[in-house]
Amino acid sequence: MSLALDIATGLLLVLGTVFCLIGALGILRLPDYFSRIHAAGLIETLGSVAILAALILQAGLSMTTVKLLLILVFILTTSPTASHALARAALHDNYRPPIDEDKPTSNN
Amino acid sequence: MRAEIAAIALTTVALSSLWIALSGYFNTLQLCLGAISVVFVVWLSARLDLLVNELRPSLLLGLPRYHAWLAWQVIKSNFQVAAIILAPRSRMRRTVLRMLVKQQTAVGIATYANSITLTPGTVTLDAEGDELIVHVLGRKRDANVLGMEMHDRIARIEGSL
Repeated sequence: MSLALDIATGLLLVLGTVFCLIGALGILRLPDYFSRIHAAGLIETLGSVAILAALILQAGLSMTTVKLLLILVFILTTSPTASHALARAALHDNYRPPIDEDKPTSNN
Repeated sequence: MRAEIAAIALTTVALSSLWIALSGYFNTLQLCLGAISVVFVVWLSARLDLLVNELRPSLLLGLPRYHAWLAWQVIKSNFQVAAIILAPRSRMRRTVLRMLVKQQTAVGIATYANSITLTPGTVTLDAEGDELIVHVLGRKRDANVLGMEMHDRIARIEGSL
């Protein structure tokens, strides 16, 4: 039982770390401010949730788990608000999001 | 008056459980400090007109079901955005969408806008009248379909109020 728990913990930690890494890569690699917000979204959703879930598995039924769950709830409610505030601030500063036109496939 | 008492009772219970969960101590001093803090915060919230009870029994059933569905959508779009980040840049598509909002309550609109932003690949930029302006990384049609389903699910929970 504890072995299965440790394996599940390990898998979740790897998943969370990989998504944090991909998110960080996206922040560096994506070309504009608005698409970088999407990359940050990877870190604050699956990245943080998977890592916190792994910690909850290790903490078991304890006060620590309650606190970890509270952290989870606060991250998931505040981070979209922060992302939106950042995007809105950029927009109100007259920075328009660059848009990729869909390449016409019919005539050509 | 009855609604006000219910709102005060609900806030008191919620804040007290939060205090107990975070402190973990049950001695007299800690509990008294907790009680004073709870009363103070409830009084502040009442003064700021924040004690509006929008909790309904139907929400207790509908919201967890919606959040479970949303969690699955968030996981799926995490993988989609990860694929976009790792793929060659020429395949990237950025667009701006306008999505109609028919939600009536403040909680409904906030839930909708936050669900959109929480899902990687879509970020709510602004609200103009009854429309949300959404930045999309990925396919426009997928974002539209997902947004519409989110909207309908929230509307259904709202409708049962």
